[in-house]
Amino acid sequence: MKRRYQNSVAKAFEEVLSEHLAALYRTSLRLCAGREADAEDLLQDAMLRAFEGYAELKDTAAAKSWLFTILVRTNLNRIRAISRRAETLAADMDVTAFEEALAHWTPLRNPEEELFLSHLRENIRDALDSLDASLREAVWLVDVEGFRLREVGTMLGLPEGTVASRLFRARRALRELLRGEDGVAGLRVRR
Amino acid sequence: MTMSCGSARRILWPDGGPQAISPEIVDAQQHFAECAGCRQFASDMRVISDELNAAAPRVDAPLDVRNRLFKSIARLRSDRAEAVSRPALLAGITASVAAAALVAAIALFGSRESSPGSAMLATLTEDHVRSLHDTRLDSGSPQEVARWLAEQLHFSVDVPVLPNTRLHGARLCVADGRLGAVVEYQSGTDLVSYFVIPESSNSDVKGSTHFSYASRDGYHVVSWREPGYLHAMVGSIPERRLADLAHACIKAMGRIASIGTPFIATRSRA
Repeated sequence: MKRRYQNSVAKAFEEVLSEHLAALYRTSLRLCAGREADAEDLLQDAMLRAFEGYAELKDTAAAKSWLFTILVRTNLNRIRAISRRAETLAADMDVTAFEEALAHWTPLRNPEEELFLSHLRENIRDALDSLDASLREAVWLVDVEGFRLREVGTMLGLPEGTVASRLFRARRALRELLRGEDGVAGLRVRR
Repeated sequence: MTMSCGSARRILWPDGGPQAISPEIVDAQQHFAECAGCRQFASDMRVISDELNAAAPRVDAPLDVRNRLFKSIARLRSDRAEAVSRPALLAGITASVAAAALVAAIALFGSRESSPGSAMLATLTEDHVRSLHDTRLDSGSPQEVARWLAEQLHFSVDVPVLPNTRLHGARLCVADGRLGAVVEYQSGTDLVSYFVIPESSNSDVKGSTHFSYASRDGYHVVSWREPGYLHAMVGSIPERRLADLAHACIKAMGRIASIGTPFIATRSRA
């Protein structure tokens, strides 16, 4: 009886995992700055933990967010544990510094930013991977995977405002990186 | 405007801000309505967000990554299942032993003149036990086949994608009284069976994987061992092609570095 129950839980977990595996893998890949072997290790580690705890998940509709939470927290623990890893966690801004940064935003009016999307696509991987780990994590989860600030805050155990400031800094940094010195690799602005 | 651009942008970040109305939010909304720079800022944030979303690399999980992940889960699952319940496994073993004992008794006490050889007895026993577990899955999905096998067996099985073959499905088999897996592939018009049989003792397999070759009744067998398991590819396709599939199978399991040249191997002709 218990075994049958466990089988049904395991089957349900595998179905949920199959549904979200592509997104989890690509997120893992970006969290590990494109290092495929590390991404697979992270994914394995996180999903085995998820499997062990899946029976405790009360709201299966929240399974995606729950799987991502385990993934990003496992990654955070790994970064903290491996001190020799080059990646660091960016110091967060206080409210005053964040407001100041927001106020100093330069509008996207520069013609150099009117460039082809293909340039962005060619360069975005490197640009993302060159970001500080915590900024990359925020921009990926919000802008690419479509999570809300509140959800990402819950995943990371951070206030929404902190996630917002990380997201802003990530977008600003990407803009600078993608614009390039000669403007060849810039964001294409749709106006 | 009493509020600064920075405060208004922070409060209404990223698009429209919080739903609850407070004096601060009302002020920020008022600020946005009157400040072209802040509206431009909100628009810029949306543009960047949209562009990032469109340009982000969306790679799928490679098949070997998926296989390894589901195999790890299956292993964890079988470990748990074993810890919870051994009776079902014991019942299976008991059935196998009983069937073997029955055939052995017939062999010992029946007509000695027509007593079949031990190989035949083993075949009869295995066939009988197999009928107890006569169950199979037709599927072309490696994940589905791996999951199905994990549900049937107490060990997990890699279901590799082999070149120029089509996954046909899987079934169970019994060899020497042990329940094993057979993954079936279609290679042209021929069927190739990939067997994974647990071995009773923890055979001490170290170093390079060693292929053994055998042929019987027009069928070729390429087999190899890993600790605790015997693997074999069986089919009527040319032996070289079968060896290539065995090689690809090991490679798919991530063990290519440990294997030697396939044709430097043990050969036996039954």
